[in-house]
Amino acid sequence: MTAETTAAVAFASDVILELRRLRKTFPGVLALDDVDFDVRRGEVHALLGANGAGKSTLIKIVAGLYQADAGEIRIDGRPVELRDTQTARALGVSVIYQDFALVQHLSVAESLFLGRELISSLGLIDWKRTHTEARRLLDRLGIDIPTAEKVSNLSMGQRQLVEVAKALGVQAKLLILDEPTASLSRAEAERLFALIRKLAQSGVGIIYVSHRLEEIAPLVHRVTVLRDGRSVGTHPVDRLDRQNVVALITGHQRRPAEPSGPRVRSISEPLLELRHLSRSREFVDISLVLRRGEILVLTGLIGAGRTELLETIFGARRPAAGEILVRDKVVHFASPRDSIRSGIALLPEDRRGQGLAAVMPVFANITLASLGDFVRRLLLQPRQELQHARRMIVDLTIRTPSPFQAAGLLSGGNQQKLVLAKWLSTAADIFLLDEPTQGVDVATKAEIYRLIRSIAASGKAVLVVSSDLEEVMEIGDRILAIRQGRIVAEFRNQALDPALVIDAITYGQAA
Amino acid sequence: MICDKSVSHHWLAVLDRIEPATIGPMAALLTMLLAFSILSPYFLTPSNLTNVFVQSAPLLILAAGQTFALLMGGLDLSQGSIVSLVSVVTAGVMMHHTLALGAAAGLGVGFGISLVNGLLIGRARIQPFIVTLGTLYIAAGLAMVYSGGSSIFGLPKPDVDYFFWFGGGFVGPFPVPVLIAALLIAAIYVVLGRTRFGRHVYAVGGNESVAVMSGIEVGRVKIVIYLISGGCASIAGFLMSGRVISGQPLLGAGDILLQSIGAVIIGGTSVFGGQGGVLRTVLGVFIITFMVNGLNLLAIDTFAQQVIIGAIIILSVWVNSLRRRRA
Repeated sequence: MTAETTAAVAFASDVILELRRLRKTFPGVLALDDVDFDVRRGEVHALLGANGAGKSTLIKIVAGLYQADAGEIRIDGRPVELRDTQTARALGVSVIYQDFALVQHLSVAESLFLGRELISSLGLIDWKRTHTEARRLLDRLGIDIPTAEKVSNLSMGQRQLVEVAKALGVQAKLLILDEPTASLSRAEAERLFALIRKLAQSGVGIIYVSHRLEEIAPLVHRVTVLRDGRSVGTHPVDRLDRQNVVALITGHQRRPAEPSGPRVRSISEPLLELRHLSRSREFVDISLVLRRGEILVLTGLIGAGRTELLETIFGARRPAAGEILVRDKVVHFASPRDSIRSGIALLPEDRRGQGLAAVMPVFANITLASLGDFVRRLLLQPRQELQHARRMIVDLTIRTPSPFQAAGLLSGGNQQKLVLAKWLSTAADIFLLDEPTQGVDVATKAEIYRLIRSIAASGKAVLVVSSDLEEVMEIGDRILAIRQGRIVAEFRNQALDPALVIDAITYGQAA
Repeated sequence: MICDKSVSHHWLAVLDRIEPATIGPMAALLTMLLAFSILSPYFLTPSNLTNVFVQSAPLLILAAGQTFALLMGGLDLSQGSIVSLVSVVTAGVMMHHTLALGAAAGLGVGFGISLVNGLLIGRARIQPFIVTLGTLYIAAGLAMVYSGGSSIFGLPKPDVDYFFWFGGGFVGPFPVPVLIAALLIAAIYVVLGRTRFGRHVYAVGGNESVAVMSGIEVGRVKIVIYLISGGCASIAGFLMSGRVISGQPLLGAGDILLQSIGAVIIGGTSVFGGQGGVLRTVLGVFIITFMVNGLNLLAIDTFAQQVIIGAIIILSVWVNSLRRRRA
């Protein structure tokens, strides 16, 4: 910035957190590239950026979860080394993650004092004091939730408020909120904002990670935008408008070269069709047609109901309303088994949880969904099975020392290719891919894109869910923008301006 | 890369070979055999070895079945009670009818309890620990109720001789229970390594969500697993009753259940599921039975033996977890 506002100058001596030339690399990825960042006392500082821009890496370093490779961290002007989360907490850093860390079965009071229980002279928990102290803390913040209420009975918004109270109970100087309103209703969000404002006034510094500036603009003092691991500037919020922010987040992104190979013909037959598909609180009135040979990308922010939609198509969840048609026939899947039989494959977002069995060898993961092909007279034929596995390993360039290697020992990208190999071994012709390159290094990403294109080129249909804008622009033939569970815009990926997509998933209707 | 030549001797043992988990127990067994041979002149005699094998047979069968339960990440606590129930029902029915009818009734009841286990675990989705803890009590209680709490002796001739043949007879030089155990283990080895169902067992134990998402009928796999585990217990109960030619309501109430689970663990099958195999279980069984036999020959009392077996169970899992952490 060339000129700081006068208000900011007044705060300048009051810097709580200062990051200088922070750098962090992961295998194959430069997550943070010499980032400068600071937070002042009483300030709400918004951290914006697309997925993969480095926001979560930055807050995880401040939280002590990751260690920076280079750069300096100062808290209250003193250089510190945040070796672990305890150190960070002791220095007054409190983080509230998107998936809150509250124990369901505990009461509100118990949750507030978890890990620092109030002990009576007998060495037992002093329940009376726990509840009075909890009450006092909640009252101070204007939160009217009974202290004896179980966490499991609270709404998402109430849980978020309890999280904030808990963070403050430990005298936080710096509070980090990661996309805190993702699962909150409008009214709940307003209450949270009121609380955040109150905290800022009391002198706490706040980092607010978000995708949506518009929503939080009245709350925020300064904005820092990250793009591809670099800070593209810190600005006072009143100098920015919607166009500005979108431009900063996307940068002067060049459209990737037109992907080669045969493109979609809208005359090709539809393989999968959704008609007004809905599931309460997850997605609403989703209608789409997926055709042979096409890559359709569904993009939106995390929590927009995308994963749930794919799992519903795959038979792992039941739709509340609407119809699924496979090859023009209405289907009702009771389980993934049924959908697999109809030729559907799902590459899940949670690779280690749902994609592959980490303790099983590579070859057994590859053939898990197509074992029937290797059975002769009731017995598996190991020779054919291994032969097939080896061919997939070569075809998909899965880097493994042998087919007998435990799948969990492969790198993220190779695990992902392994799950693809599993489905390519079946007769599936409808591929649902949920965040196919999450946690995958750049080189493998390119290979996976090639694979996805070749799947489509071989006459199959691919539905990709992705929140990585570059990926969306790179592989999508058509792009559907989804926001809060609804499809808000459809784009044909020809000379498309990425800003339009960002705008749609962030604000709804195109500007 | 492994060339095709090595695959030909690779192919049967594919899943057992993933990691060298068998090296530890194998070394333990060999060390033990060596030590006992040196310490006791009676240990390495044909009659002693035959004796050990005959005594191992029921445990081999039980533990082979238990292997399935552990491979899927569960366990079967009801095996011992099934042994007792099969014993009294077989003898009780045989008393007034024939051996064939007794065997059918006894084994039928055993499979019935196993089916209850399977349905509660596979369909009602209750944890295996809870379900089999319940059926442990139920089957043990039923055995006492049916027999009135006392042993059933004096089985009618000539059927009682056939009955004994199953538990203590010979075919040529081979004891019948050992032959039966060997056949069962061979069959289970093929099932685990060479059938779709076997692979599904590993998949369910390795990662149940992945199994569901790959189209495997997880509920059905679990039902079959507990049918096999309880079925093996039923067969073991039948053979053990034949050996004592009577129905004993406390036949499976002793060590045998814990030895069955212990043998699988000592052999190196992971308690978290997904890794292991029946050959490892055979190793585990021999470690336990040779340990007991050797210590008996050295006149070390049974209470001290329990201390040693307990220590071996913990040690084997500890060694395995160290290896895993390094990986």
